[in-house]
Amino acid sequence: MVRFIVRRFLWMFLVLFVVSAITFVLLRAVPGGPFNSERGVPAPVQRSLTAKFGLDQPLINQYLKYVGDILVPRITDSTFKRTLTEDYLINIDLPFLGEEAAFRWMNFGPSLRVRSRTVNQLFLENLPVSIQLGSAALIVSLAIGVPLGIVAALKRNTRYDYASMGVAIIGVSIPIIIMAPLLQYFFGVQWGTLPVSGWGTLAHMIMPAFALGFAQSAIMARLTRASLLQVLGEDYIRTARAKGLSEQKVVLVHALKNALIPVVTIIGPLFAALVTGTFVTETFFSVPGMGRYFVTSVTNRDFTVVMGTILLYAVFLVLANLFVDVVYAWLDPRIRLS
Amino acid sequence: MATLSQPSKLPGSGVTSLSERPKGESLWANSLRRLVRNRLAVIGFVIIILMILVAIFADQIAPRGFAEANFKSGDSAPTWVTRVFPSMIPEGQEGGYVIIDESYTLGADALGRDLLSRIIYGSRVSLTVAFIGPLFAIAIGLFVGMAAGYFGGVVDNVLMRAVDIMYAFPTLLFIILLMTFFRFSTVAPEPGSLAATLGQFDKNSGGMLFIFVGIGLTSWMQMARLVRGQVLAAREQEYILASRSIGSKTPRILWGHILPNILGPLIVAETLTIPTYISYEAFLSFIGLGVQQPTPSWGSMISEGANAIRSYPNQALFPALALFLVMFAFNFLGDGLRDALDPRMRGKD
Amino acid sequence: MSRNRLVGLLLVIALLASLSVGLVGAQDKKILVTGRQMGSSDIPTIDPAIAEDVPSVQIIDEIFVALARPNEETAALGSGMATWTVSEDGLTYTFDIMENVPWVRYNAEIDAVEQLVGADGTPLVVTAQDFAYGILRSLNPETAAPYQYVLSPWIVGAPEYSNGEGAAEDVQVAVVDSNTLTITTPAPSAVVPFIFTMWVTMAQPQSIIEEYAEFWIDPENIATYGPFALKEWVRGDGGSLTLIKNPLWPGTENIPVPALDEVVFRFLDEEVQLTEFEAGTLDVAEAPDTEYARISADANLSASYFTGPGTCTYYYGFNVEREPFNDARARQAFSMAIDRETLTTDVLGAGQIPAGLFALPTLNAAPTSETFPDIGIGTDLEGAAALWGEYLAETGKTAADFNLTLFHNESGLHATIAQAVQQMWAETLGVNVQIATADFATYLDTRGNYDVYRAAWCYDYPDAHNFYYDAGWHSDLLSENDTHWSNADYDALVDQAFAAPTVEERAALYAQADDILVNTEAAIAPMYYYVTNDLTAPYVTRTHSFITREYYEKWDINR
Repeated sequence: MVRFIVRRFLWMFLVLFVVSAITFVLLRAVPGGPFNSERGVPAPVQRSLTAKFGLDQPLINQYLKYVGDILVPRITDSTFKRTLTEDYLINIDLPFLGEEAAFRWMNFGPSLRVRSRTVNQLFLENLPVSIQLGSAALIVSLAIGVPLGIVAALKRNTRYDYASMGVAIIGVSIPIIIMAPLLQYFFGVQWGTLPVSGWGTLAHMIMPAFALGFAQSAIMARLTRASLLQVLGEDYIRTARAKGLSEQKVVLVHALKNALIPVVTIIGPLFAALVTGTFVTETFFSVPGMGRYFVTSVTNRDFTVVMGTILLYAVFLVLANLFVDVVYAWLDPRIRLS
Repeated sequence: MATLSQPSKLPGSGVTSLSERPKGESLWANSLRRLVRNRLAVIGFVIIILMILVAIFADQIAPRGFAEANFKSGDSAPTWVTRVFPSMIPEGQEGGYVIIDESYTLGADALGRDLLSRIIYGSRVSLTVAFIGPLFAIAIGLFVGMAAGYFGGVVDNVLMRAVDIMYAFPTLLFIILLMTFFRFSTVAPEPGSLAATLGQFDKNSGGMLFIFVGIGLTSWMQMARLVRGQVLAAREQEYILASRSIGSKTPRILWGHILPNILGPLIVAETLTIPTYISYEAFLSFIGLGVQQPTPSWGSMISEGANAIRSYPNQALFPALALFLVMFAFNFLGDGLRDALDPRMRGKD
Repeated sequence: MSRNRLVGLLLVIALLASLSVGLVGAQDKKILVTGRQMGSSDIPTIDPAIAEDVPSVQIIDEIFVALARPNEETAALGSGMATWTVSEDGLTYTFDIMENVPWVRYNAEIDAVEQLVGADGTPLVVTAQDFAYGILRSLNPETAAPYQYVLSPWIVGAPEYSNGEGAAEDVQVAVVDSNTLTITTPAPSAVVPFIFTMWVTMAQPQSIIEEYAEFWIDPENIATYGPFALKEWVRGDGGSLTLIKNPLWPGTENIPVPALDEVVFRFLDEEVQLTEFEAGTLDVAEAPDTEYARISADANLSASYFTGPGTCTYYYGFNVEREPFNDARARQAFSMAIDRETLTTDVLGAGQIPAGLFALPTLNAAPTSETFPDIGIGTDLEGAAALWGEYLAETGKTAADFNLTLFHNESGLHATIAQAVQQMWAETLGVNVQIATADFATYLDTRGNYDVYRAAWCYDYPDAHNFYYDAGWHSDLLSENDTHWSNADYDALVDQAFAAPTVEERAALYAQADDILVNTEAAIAPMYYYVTNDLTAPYVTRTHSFITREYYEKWDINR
C-alpha cells in the first residue's frame, strides 16, 4: 500500500513536469503578451515590465526558473520580505534556527495581468470556493443520478426505465448557458425564493450546484443502472433471493453496495472536472471560484496563472484518482493495489 | 492505474459473446432486433437521420441565407412566438417592444437574420463536430490502443503513460490552449507557409477546422484505453491463439479477428461521448473561440441569444431546443446500443 | 464492506460541502451597486501607481483624492486635495494641500475606520511629501507603471527618470513645506491641471508600501485618506469590494463627507446585473444594451433608467500601408459607406450617437458638429460609391480584385457591428470584406497587419488633448499607431492647440486637426460615441457622472 502510494507520487511529478513543459511551449508560441493594452504600451514601459517579471530571459531559463521557484525550498532569515515575486505557499517558522527563520516552499509566481496578486493567493482564496461548489454539485449529481439509475435498473425496459433515464439525460442536454438564466429568473425574480447570484450562504449554493450537478447526473444514472443490472445477475444475488430474503433487502443491502463500486471510481475524475470545469456556472452565478481563471488566463496570456491552474488540475486529478483507488481497495477486498 | 482501464468493469464488453450466441441468429441481427425494440433509441436514431438530412440539404430547406441581414427587422418575431413567450409583448401594446414580422418563422436576430435558417445551417457545425470527435478518437485511439494492447511490454508502457499524461490535462483548457495556439499562431503568418495555408483553410471553413483539431486531439485517450483493454482480453481468446498458431500475421490478426470483436463497445462508448463533443462546441462559442461569424452554429446562437434572453427568449431557446434534441437523440441511441450490444442482456427480455 | 463506511464517507463529503460563511448583517445606509465597466471581473488593482482601467480608478478615486478633481456632471476642474496657483510664465504650479487629513485604515476587530499612527506615536496626516513620493513612485521605472508615459511628459525631468536615464532628484517636483508642493512643467498649457486629476499623481503612503511591498493594498495593510475607506475585498471574478465611510475625512465643498455608510461593489455580468436589479437585490446596475428595447418599454424599468453621454469613441482604423487604403479616397469612401444612423438605431439601438468626429463632444476644448458643422465625415452612400468608382477607374481595378480583411477581438458586440458594416460595404461599394477575429491579446499584437481593425478610445482625463495626442495619431507616437498613418499638418495643429491659451482657440485648432484625421485623410472612420445606461432604484438619490467614475460621497439612500 505505502509503496503503491509512493510510486504514484513519483509518477505524479513526472506527469506534472511533462504537463508544465507542454503548456509552457504552447503558451509562448501564441502571439500576444500579458502587458498589452488597448491604448498601446510604449516600448520603455513594456521593457521595464518584461524585465521586472523576467520575461526578457531566454525561454529555457524562464522555464527552469519557474520550476525551480516551485520545487526548491528556501530557508530564510529576517531579511526575507514577502513581495509579489517572493510569495510562498508553504511557510513554516523555524525558531530553532534563529529569530524569524523560516522554511519556505512553492512559489508559483505573481499573476502578470492582475498586478497585485500572486498565483498562491489565487489558490488560497478562490480554490476553496470551487471545492465547495464542486462538492455540492457532486452531491447533487449523486442524489439525482443514483436513485434514477436504481429505478431504471429495477424496472428495466419499462416506461419507468425510460422516464428515469430521460430525466437524467435532460440534465446533460440543457446547456448551463440556458439553464442558469432560467433558474435565476424563476427562483430569483419571479418567486424571489433564492438569491440570483453571489456566494457566501447555503442559499447561494443551491442554484449553481444544481445547474452543475444535474448535468452530471446522467453519468451517475447510467453507471448505476448498468452496474446494478450486472450485479443483479450474479450468483450471490440468486442465492440471496433463494434464501427467501425480501426483494427490497436483496436490492438495497446486497446488490446496491457492490453496484455502487463503479460509481465510486468515477467520483475522482468527476470531482476534478467539477472543481475546474465551472466557467459558465461561475460566470452566471458570480461565484468567485477558480473556474474563470482557467479560461481568462489563457486569453489574457497570464502565463503564470495558466501554468498554476493547469498544474493544480493535474495534481487534483492524480490525487483524486489515488484517493479513489485507495477507497476502492478498501470497499472491495478482491482488489489488490499493485 | 487501476480505475478506468479495467476492461472487466466496463459494462458492454462483447468479447465473450461468440460462444453464447443463440442458434440461428447472428450476433448483429440479435442486437439489431433488440435495438429496434427500444423505442426511445429508435426515436433518437430517426432524429439524428433527420438532422443529417437537414444539414445536407440546408441550401434547399432554409428559407433564407444564413448571413442575409435586414437591419430594419432586427430582433423581430412573428405573432405566434410572442404568444408562446408571453413576456415578449408586441409593439403597440402597453409595455410592448417586439417588432412583429410574420415573414420570419421563428423570429430574427439582432441583425435581422432569420433564426430558422441559421438553425438549419447551424446543424452542419454541430453534426460535423458530433462525427469528427469519434473519427479522431477512433483513428488515433484505435491505433494507439491496439498497438499497446497487442504488443504489450515497453510499447504498452510508453503509450499508456503518454495517455495518462494527456489525461492529466483538463480537457477543456487543453482545447482552449490548442485552439489559441493553432488559430492565433496562424493569424498573420508569412504567406505561402503551412501556417498560412492552415489559417486560410480555417477561415474558409468558418473557423471550424481548428475546433475540430482541438476536439480531435483531446478525444482519443479514452478510446485508446478502452481498445487496449479489449485487445488484452481478446488476445487470450482461443480463436486468436489458434489463428496465431496457424501463422497469421499480426496485422491480419488485429484487423481481421480482434477489431470486429471489439467494435461493439467502441461504438457504444463513442455514441455516448458525442453529446460531450457537441457541448464543447457550445462552450467554445461562449468563450469566444467558436466558429467565425457569420457562420452560424447552435452554440454561438445560444451564447449570443443568452445576452438578451429576457427580452427575446426565442433567440436563445430555439437553437437550444435544436441542441437539446440532438443531445437527447445521441444519448438515447447510445444507451439503446449499449443495451442491445451487451451480451449479458441477451435473452433476458 | 460495511455500509457504515460508505455512509461515513458521504458524510465527510457533505461536511466539506457545507463549509459556508454567514452573511454580514445589514447596515443602515448600505448601497449595493455595480461599477462602471466592472462587469464580473475582479478589480485588477487599487494601487494608484499601477492602475490603468476604469474599475480600478473608480475605487482609487474614492479612497485617495488627487490634487485636482473634475466635476462629474460638468467636467469642469475643481480643487481636490489642493488649490493651486500658476507662475506668470505658466510653468510652475504651486499646490496648497489641505491640512490635517488623516491616513486611515478600517480595523475589522473594532469594525471602525481609525487613524494610523507613525512609528514615533504621532498620528499620520497627508503631507506634500506623500504626494511627491506618490508621483515619483509612479514615474519610477522599477514600478513599471503602465501610465507613467501619460504623466511623464508633463513634468520637467520626468521622461528621463522614467526611461531609466535620469535621476529622481532631477524630477521637478519640490516639497516646499509639509503642505506646499511645486511642480514644474516643460511648456505652458491649459491641459496641465487635468493631469493632476489623475490617479498616478495621488499621495501614497511610503512607510506602508515599503513594509508590505505589493501587498500594501490588501485591506489589512492599506492606508488611505479619501471620503471612503476599504473595508473588504473578496477577490476573484464574481467577487465584491466594500467601501466604508471614512468619518475622519474633513469634507470639502467638492468632496463632502459621505451620507452612505457602505458601498458594496458586486462584480456581475451585465445580464446578471439586470436580473439582480429586477429581483430588488441590487440598487444600481448598468443596463445591458441588448435589453434596451424592453427596458424602455417597461413602465417600472424605464422609470429607473438613465442614459447619458459615454466616455469612448468607437472607430475603425484603416491600414494606410495596404492597398486600397494607401489612397485617401478609398479610405473616405469606406468611411462614408458606413451607415452610422442605421448602425446606431437599428443594429445597436441603445441610444448610441453617430460620430462624425473623433473626439467626444463632451470633452474640454473638443470641437463638436454643432459648433463646427462643416468639418468631419458623414454617411453619404452615393458619394462613397462615386468616390470608390473614381478610385477604381483611375487604378484600373475592380472591386473584386481586393481581398480585404476586417479584424476585431472576440465579443458579441464587435461581431454584430462588423457583420453589419460588412454588409454595408458589400451593398454600397461592392466589396466583399472578410472578417477575422482573435482573442484580445492576439488582436492587440497583430491588428496592425490587417486592412481594417476596430478600436475604441476612452479618455484618461476629460480634455480633447487626450484624444488628439495620446490616442496615437500624433507622429510622436507613430510606433503605437496601428494605421501607420502620420501627417505633418495634423501634428502642427495639435501642437498649436496644446499651447493655445483659450478653450475656444484650442477647439478651433482641434476642429481642423479632426477634419484631417477623419475626413480629408480619413485614417480612421469614427462610428459612434458610447452612452452610459444605468438603472437606479427609486430610493437612491444620486448624481450621474459622465466622467468615467461616480462620486458616491454625493449619493444617498432613503428606503
